[in-house]
Formats: sequence, structure tokens, C-alpha cells
Amino acid sequence: MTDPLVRFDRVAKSYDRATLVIPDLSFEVGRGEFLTLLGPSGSGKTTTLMMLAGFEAPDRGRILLEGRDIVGVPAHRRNIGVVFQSYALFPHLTVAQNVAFPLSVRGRPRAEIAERVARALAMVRLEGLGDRRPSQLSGGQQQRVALARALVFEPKLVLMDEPLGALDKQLRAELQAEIRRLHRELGVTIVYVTHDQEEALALSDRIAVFNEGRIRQIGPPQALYDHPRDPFVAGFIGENNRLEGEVVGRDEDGQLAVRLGGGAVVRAEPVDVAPATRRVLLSVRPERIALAHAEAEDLGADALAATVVETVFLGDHVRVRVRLADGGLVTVKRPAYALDARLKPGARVALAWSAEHAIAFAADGTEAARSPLAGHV
Amino acid sequence: MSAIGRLLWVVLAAATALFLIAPLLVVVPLSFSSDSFLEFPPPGLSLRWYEALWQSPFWRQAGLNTLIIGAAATAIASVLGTLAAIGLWLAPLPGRRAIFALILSPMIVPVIITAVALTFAFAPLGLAASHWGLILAHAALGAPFVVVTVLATLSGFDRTLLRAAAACGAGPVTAFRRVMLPLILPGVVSGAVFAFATSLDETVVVLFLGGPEQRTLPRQMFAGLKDTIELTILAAATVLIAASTVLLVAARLLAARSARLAGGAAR
Repeated sequence: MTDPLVRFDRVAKSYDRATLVIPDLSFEVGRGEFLTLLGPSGSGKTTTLMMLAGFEAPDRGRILLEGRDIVGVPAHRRNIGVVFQSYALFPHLTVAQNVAFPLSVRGRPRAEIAERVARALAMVRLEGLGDRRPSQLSGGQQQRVALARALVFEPKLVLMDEPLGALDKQLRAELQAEIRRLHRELGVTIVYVTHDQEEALALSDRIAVFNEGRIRQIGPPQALYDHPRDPFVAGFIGENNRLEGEVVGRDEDGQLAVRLGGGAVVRAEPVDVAPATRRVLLSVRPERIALAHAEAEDLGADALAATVVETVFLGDHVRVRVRLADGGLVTVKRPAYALDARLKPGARVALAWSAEHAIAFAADGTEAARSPLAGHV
Repeated sequence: MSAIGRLLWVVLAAATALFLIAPLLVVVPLSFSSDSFLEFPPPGLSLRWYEALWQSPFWRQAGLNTLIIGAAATAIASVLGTLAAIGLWLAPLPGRRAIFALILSPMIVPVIITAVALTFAFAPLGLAASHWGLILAHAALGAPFVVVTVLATLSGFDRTLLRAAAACGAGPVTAFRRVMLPLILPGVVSGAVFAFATSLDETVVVLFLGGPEQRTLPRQMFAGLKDTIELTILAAATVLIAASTVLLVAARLLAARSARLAGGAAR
């Protein structure tokens, strides 16, 4: 990335001087980018954001903002806007005074403050509520005030720490749209923390997937979804079926032939699978699996036969849970309108997918064993 | 609750209240007596004892001393007590409990011990028989109240607000002045009222540490009681009662107002 706005350079952080919550972290944030730090709780994403905000100090490494190391710069001199999950509005001040706070701290003239506060409140669609107190507003409105307060002083960088975590689903969708619009219109760089992968997919230019203090993969949402680089990312972003198998062949364009537990052989696209690897873990998205009603005699030797366990109707789609010959459970997602009425529990089905949608990770090494989702369907 | 139980409850509560305020019921009417004897009920009503109080240079000086020492001690106790409370609240000090116990010790240690200790400690410093000596002593006695009330308010204070203030560009001092102080003000004010009330009726330390120049109202009452039984003392007592009542009510109102402004976030 040429001339990034933010650069983490080999940052390490420990809270107790014994265990490193972040062992060695390097990444960049481009100007105007919307980067989401996504991961389970305790993965180091919030710690990373707090170090960028200046509320925590790294033990080692540099954090560069526009090329300048800001590790020694206190939070209040960094000129970075922050939105908190708990809103953190000042309860003794009105909405307008809250939004005016960053400007009045900076000693801006009164007329300018009034004008910019009015503009910021209009920007988050809270015109006319300036005289209210935060306690008189709904959660969604309070978070809009917090957004206005973080943006009013026109920082180049705004950090958001699970800002929608305390809101219900519908409000969350509404505010996601609002945040996307603000990002688009203001051209501000946003670093966003969440554990909600759908939210990350909906908002981000790029997502950095965190686990155990490391970035497992960083890239555009679709790249992460379609081409996860390891089983953790495959399991954390979207839904995935995990099937264990053994490599029985490798063709000239690199695809693997993998024999599953029940004896069926399927083809898969390897990701970082060394030639000597025998055991692999297949990752297949539920919506990429085709399934057809089939009598046992119709199935060839290599077909993947299964028995329907249950079908769950979810409005727009149906989830079909099937059991493979080796006992493993697989979830298939089909559009509700295209569902075969014969797929009742106990029905025999054949499964199929195209090779590029089955991703094979090496299971010999420690990678899969270390993944917290190993063995998890 | 049965009717009899309820009746019993009311009677008991009334009896307790009566027991607590009975002295006042005697003292206040007697201070308006027209006679010079401790006779109850008073034979007639007059303001002669208040007049005597007002015109006596001893009582006036004592009142002035009480106000000066009380106000200065309260100011010192409020500032130091608030800072100590914030320090205890913010810092994960290893000796936090020990420090807290030390700060509270003037509340627990018998006043007579504090008085003797202060007398020995202050005399070589030239602080015995001086206004400053009493002010510092009363500040030490009042500060624990401020620490306790401010700590109580801080337990409802959201730490994230300090981070939010920093993210808005406010340095530590600005963040304290514009965000933290307004929100913990109810605690500071009630602590200050307690500190002032402590100084107002403190007698033991004044007896030990105060010289003739430092006579406060309680000291003057004590002396008056020993020399001549004069009903001026009762007038002074009534004034003290009135002052304490006004202070408590004012503190209540102020705290309620701040809490309302804070949207109930800093109770």
C-alpha cells in the first residue's frame, strides 16, 4: 500500500508482562479505507483499537499515523475520533453541547461551533434535538450523537468499538446504512471493531480476521468469504461444513482427489497443502452444495450419499441437515421455492459440489489442531 | 401487617424520634425565655438571649472563629478529599485498602487521641494556639467524609467518559473540570457539608489546640457552661442547630439538582 494513513509495525502488547495478548502485529490502513477488525472476544481486536486510540500503550513496536510514530503521543493529542459501544455521551451536557465539546476544547470561536454543530447534527439526522439530554434519547439516537461528536472536528481517522453492539437488529441495520453513507460522503478513514461477521461483511472495504492476537487473514469481504486461507477464517466468516478426508490423488491443474470417511471420493481445491500431506480438512459452504433425491441403486460408487435428518424452513431458504455414510453431519442451504417435497427426514439424497467450492486445508500439521473450531460443525 | 402491628410500629418510630429530638424541644423554646433561669416551660418569651449573644464581643468573636476555621477547613478537606478519592478510584494501587483505612482513621480513632497527638505534633511547629493549627486539624477530621461521599459518587461514574473526553481532545485537567467534576459534584458537596458540620461542633481538639484567640462557638459554650449558667448558650445552640439544618437542606437540594442535570447517571 502506498502512503498508508496508519501502519502497525511489529506491535506487541501484554497486560501482565507474562502473556502477550498481541505477540507481533503488523498491518496498514489506507487513506479513506473502511477496515474492520473482526474476531471472537479476547482475540486482540479491541486491544489493537485501544492502542491506536492511545488508551493502551504497546510494549514493543511502532504505530505510525501519517508516517509519524504516535506511541508516545497521549490520546487527547492524536486527533482521532472514537465511538464507543456504550455511547459514552456526557450525561450532564445537552446533545448540542456534547457535539460541541471537541470544538470548544479546541478553542474554536462560538459562531463557528454553533454552525458546525448544526451541520453535524443534520448529518446524523438529529436536527431539532440539540437541546435534549442524552438520557431523553433512544439508544439509536444516542449513538448518532456519538457519531456526530466523533466526526464534528473532522478527524482523518475515526475508530469505532462495537458501536452497534447494544442495539437491536433492526436499528443495527439502519445505523449500518448510516455509517456506510457517512464513510462514503465524508471520505474519512474508519477502523471498526466487531465480532459480528455479517456486520463486517456489510460495512467493510477490507476485513482483518483476528484470532489469538494475530491477524489470520486480511482482505476484501468477498475474498475472505470465497478464499479463506485457513480453517479458522473459513469457520468464522459465513458458515462452512467441515469434512475430514485423505488425499488419494492430485491432478495436473493442482486439484486434489480426497476420500471421505464413508469411502466417497470428492475433488477439492487445496490451500497451502504440501505435496506430502495426507490428511486434509475440507470446507464447503452450505449454499454451494447441490442435493438431489436419489434411490440407492441410482448412485455411482463415487457419489456422496446421505440421509436427510431434518429440514428447517426459514422463509427465503431451507436448511437441510443430512448425515453422511461415515456419520458426519452436513448442512445444505437451498432456496425455499426450489425445494423438493420428497426431502423428508429419512429420505436418501446425493450431494455434489464443484471442485473449486471445496477448499482443502492440511490437517496433518498443527494448524487445524490449533483452530478452536476444529471438530465443530 | 396487622393493624396492631402497624400501630406498634408507628408508636415505636414516634418514640424513637421523640427520644432523638427531645433535647431540641427543650433547648429551642428555652432560648426564647424571658427569664434567666433554666426553668421549663419558660415563664415568658423574649429575644433577650439572642440580643446578648449578638452584643457580646466574646460570642461574636467565637462565631467569627467558627466560620473562618470551618470554611477554611472545609475548603482544604474538600480539595484533598476529592483528590484522594479519585486517586483511590483510579489507581489499582497495591496498598489501596491500607491507604483508605489510613485516610478514614480520623473518623475511627477517638477524637481525644487525635487531639493529644495533634497537640504534641503541632506545638514544635508553632501551630498550637493558632488558627492554622485548628484549620489543619479540622481539615483532617473532615476529609474522610469527603473521601467517602466522593467515592460513593464515583462508583456510579462511567470511566469510559474520561476516554471519550480524551478522544474529543480534552487533556486530563480539562476532562476533570468539564466532565468528571460536574458529575461527581453531588458527592463533593455533601462531603463538604459533613466536613463543615464536623468543624462546627468540634470541641475536643479546640480545647487542646486552641488558645484564647481560637475560641469557637462550642468552646465558648463549654466555657460559658462552666462559669455561669447563662441562657445565651441556648441561643447559641439554637443558632448552631439552625445553621446545621440549613446546610443539610441546601446540600440535599444541590445534590438533587446535580443528579437531575446528570440525567441520573451520577447518583
